[in-house]
Amino acid sequence: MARLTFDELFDSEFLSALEVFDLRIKRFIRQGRHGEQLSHDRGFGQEFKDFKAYVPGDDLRAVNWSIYQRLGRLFVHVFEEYQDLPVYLLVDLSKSMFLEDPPRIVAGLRTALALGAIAAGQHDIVSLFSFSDNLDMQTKPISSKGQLIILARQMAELDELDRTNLSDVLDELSHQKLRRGLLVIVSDFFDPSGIEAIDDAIRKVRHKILLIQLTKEEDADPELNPEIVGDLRLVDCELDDAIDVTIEPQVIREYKRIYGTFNEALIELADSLGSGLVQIDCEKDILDQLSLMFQTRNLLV
Amino acid sequence: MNLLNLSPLFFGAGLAGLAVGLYLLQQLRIRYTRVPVPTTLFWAEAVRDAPVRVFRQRFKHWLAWLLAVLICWLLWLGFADLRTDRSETANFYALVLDGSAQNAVGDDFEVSKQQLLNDVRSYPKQQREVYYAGEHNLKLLAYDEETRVLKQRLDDQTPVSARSSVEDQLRLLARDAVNAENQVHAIVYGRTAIPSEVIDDLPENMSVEQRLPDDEDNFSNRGIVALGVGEPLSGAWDKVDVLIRVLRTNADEVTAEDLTITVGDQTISSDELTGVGDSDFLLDDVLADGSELQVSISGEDDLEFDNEASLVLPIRTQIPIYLGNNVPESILPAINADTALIVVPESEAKVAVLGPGDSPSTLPTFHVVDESAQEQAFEIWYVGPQDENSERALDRTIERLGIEHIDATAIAQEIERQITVRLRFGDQRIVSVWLPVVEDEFNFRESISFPLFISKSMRYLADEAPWYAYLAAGRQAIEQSAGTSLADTDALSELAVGTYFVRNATGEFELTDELPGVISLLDKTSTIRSSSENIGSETVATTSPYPLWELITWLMLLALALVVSEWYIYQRRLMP
Repeated sequence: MARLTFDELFDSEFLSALEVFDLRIKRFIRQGRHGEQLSHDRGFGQEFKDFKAYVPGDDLRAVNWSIYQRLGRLFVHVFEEYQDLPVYLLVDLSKSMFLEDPPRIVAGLRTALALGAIAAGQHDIVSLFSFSDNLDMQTKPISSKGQLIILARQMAELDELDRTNLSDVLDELSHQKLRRGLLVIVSDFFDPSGIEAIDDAIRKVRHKILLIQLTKEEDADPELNPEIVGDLRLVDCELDDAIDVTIEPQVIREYKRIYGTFNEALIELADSLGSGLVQIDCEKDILDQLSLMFQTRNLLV
Repeated sequence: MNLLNLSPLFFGAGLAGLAVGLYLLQQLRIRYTRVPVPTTLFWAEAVRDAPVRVFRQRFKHWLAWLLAVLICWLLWLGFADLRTDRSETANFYALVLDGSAQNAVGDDFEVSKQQLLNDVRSYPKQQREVYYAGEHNLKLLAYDEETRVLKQRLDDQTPVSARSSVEDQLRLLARDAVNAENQVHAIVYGRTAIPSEVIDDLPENMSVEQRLPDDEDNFSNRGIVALGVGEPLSGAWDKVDVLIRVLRTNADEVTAEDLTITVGDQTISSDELTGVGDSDFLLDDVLADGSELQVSISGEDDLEFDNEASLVLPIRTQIPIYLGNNVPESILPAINADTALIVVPESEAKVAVLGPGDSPSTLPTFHVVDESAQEQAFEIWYVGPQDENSERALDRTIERLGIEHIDATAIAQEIERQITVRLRFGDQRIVSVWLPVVEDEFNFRESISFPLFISKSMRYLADEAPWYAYLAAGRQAIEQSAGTSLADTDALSELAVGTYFVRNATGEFELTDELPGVISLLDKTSTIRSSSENIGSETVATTSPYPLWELITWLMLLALALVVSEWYIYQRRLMP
């Protein structure tokens, strides 16, 4: 199975189950139109927050004329302002995402669509990017649930690309003039350049980051894979590189240690960025895992 | 302790070879299973300190190698067939099942068969063979053949009306045992009597044992043990006397009324039988016209095969001869005295007898000629191609003509010429004799050999058909009348010489158009069942020298246990 079909992706039952979830970020920079994301800037929202002295350029409709009558100075109302949040879904389409059964891309696209649906439900602007060794932006961002079908259709058309090169992709992304928002990276993070390269590149990105790591249990414990026995020639599906391994307890122990280090590095990266890291097990139910992720009904990044 | 299949040297070499071979195989295991994975990042780092096995790299999987070597060694040891008792490996067992009439009483054959099947599993397949002694000797199970095929082969065998060929089989085994290095044990399954002379002739490294079907011997039987024809005491040329001999064991005496005799379609009354002694009956002057004579005993007994016997009566007709005008008077008395001869006109004759001056005949001719007519005293012409066989037949003809009985020296002195015989090949049988040899003035004419010579010459010239005095299963066909007949017995002699004519089973046969016959059992040992002498016998199988739980079983179990252990260790990933 290479990818999900549109019908499999655009599952109304799945999408309706997502309606209870909220996606919020801690701080947001004023730039866009009104939305449901709380801005630190005071503006022209619905809820009154304070007064401030008038400066040229303020909206005259906000001037409190009663105070002006009493004090002879101009003050304007300051309201809590809600703005829309640009959400950039960056989905890994490298070969490793399509290799196994079930392929990681299935869980990846479902998770991305879920997050996209939640954001669109909050009138945020959702854009879809895909990557392997290059960045590829899908057209037509969406900003409402009614447009979710567009997002699903874009996802259904995604196909297998080449090897993972996330560091270069992030570098390219950082040079794009995009509104600051939330960048959701959906990937297995098996980048041959290593976590260090990703670390360097991701710090150049001005967006808030949410890392969705697509995993399988056998990543951490290869003995769960019945094929991992005896003398093996392990072929890297992206690099066409092969490595001969004699599966022995010592090798398995070492592998587990190294994979643990990789995971720790990824968690440390997320912590240092102040971003979130969510591990999605590709062989388990996505909705259950999203429910755990949104335990308090909203995910705060 | 001994190895049955392998020499110690080869066994040791095999052990070493297996160990070395497996060691090399462990090192040469470089055929990797190709498994695509999402990334090799972690594996590359993981194997940095535990590199994969490569050719000729340091050997480190001692446990795997040791287990494999042990398993292979155990299998190799099993194949070598280790025996702890050296004496057993030096033995060879020939199991002989009697399928003759002697083992056809009641369920004796089935019991013997089952005993054999029980026993044969006890012997290693490299040390035993199974023979079937029925009509012919068959090897039912050869050396190294699987025992399980024996039952099916035995199912195809049933006892036949035949004399036992166990004796023949034992003689064959004895012949082979003479050159054998090991001890040969023949075990006979059945009740057939083994003559003591067979046992006495066994080589030192061979022994015979017999397994009887049961202990009890309530055998009750009456049977025909002889049926033969001979020259009639009456002297009638065209008739024969018939002798019937009947024996019994644990049964009532056989009277003439118990015997039913038929000749062709005609039943002979028991009144015509003359009892001779306790067991013989004589039927006089039975017309020798080629009919089949059948004799049967009424009543039931334990063995059916000997209750009937048959023979084909000979065909004895007078030989018509033509006498020429100049036949010497000296030979006429001999011709007239022979009741087998009858003088007829030349057109009806089969043989012509001519004297000096008579016109030659196209018939086979007894010709008396002047001395000047031929160089030798006797010239005998033989019909047929001149080859080795016909020359031998011609020699026999001379012998049978009785010429060797002639006092040739005396005749030669009297006629002052050398008496010789010349054998010639031609289109017609001819016996040509000098006139002086048959004239009254010489003593040959007066000797008892003279009428014999004349009679035999007439039969030779008439090419009289031969006949058998009796035909019995398992016994050589003997020419008629115990050799006293004057018939031409060339064909019979040929048959009698070769053992191939010995037919073990009863029944009709037709060797040639002229020689039809019926073979009967006529076997005294089958009818009265004599027991073997000087042979150890018992009714139960001996204890197997190779019990079920022999060493090979333990070896295989141990090998299985090691395989299970290896699997367990492998599953625990303690071994690659």
